[in-house]
Amino acid sequence: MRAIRHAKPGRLATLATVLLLPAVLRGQGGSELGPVVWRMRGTLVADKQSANDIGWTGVSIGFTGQADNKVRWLGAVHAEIFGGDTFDAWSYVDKVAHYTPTFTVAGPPDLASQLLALPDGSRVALEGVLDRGARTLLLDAVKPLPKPGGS
Amino acid sequence: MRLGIRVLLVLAILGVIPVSAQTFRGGTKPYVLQGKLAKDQRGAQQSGWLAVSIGSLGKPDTPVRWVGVTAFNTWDDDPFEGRQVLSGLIPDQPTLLVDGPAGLLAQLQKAPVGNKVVLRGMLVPESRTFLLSAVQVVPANAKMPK
Repeated sequence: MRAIRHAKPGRLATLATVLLLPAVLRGQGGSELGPVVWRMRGTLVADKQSANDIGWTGVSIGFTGQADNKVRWLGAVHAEIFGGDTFDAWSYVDKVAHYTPTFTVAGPPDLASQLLALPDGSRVALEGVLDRGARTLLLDAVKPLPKPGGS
Repeated sequence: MRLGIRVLLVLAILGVIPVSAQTFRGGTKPYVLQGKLAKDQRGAQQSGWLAVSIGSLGKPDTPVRWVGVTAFNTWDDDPFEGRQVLSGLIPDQPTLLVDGPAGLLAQLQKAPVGNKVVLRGMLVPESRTFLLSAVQVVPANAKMPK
């Protein structure tokens, strides 16, 4: 108590801010924007219109270290958060789908390169950790999926 | 009529030659639908990828339930086919006609607006019939059980 009594007002304000910030953020829904394990499936296509046509919604994927206009368009047909929650996943995508890029792949480089290299028309499953606040996706897996008929 | 034209007509009737672009139906198979119950079509559009209406087979007087669909997958977890099949049903109202055990039908009918639902069953795309085998209702703010 003595330490607090003799502390300068500025330091007390800083201490109070540090202690109260998590609670304030929780109250504002800040905790809802933390990182989550993310899984999304869709078809890679040439542009936004094709993505909206082939999926429930079109999302764009940018890449750290690439030019700003270097994006892949994905017609998303499924999105889920760890545990299979499609409700929160839909809600999140609905809020951010209008951004271009919707997500930015931060790495690792080999998986980012693999995603960049897949031809248009490829069906793919993307898995990784998504920072919902920054819309940054750290990939854990890029899985090409078979096309209809198993080709 | 020339013989060639007759042969072509017979082949077309037999279905050997497609005479028009046919909508992909996917065939009868089990599907899993996840979504959020809404008051009306507008509410369903604001709570899922797609707004679908669910009526009761043979009971046209039963009110339809509106669902904002957040996932529609085949039994073997193919969302690509699920989207294709469900989108093909959309012009029709209701989108799906459910049938099945009375308890499941009542559970779906009584589920409050805003709740999450998981419907499992056999879909017959040609008739839009969804034969329910399981209905799971989860409160709006609750997490889906794993």
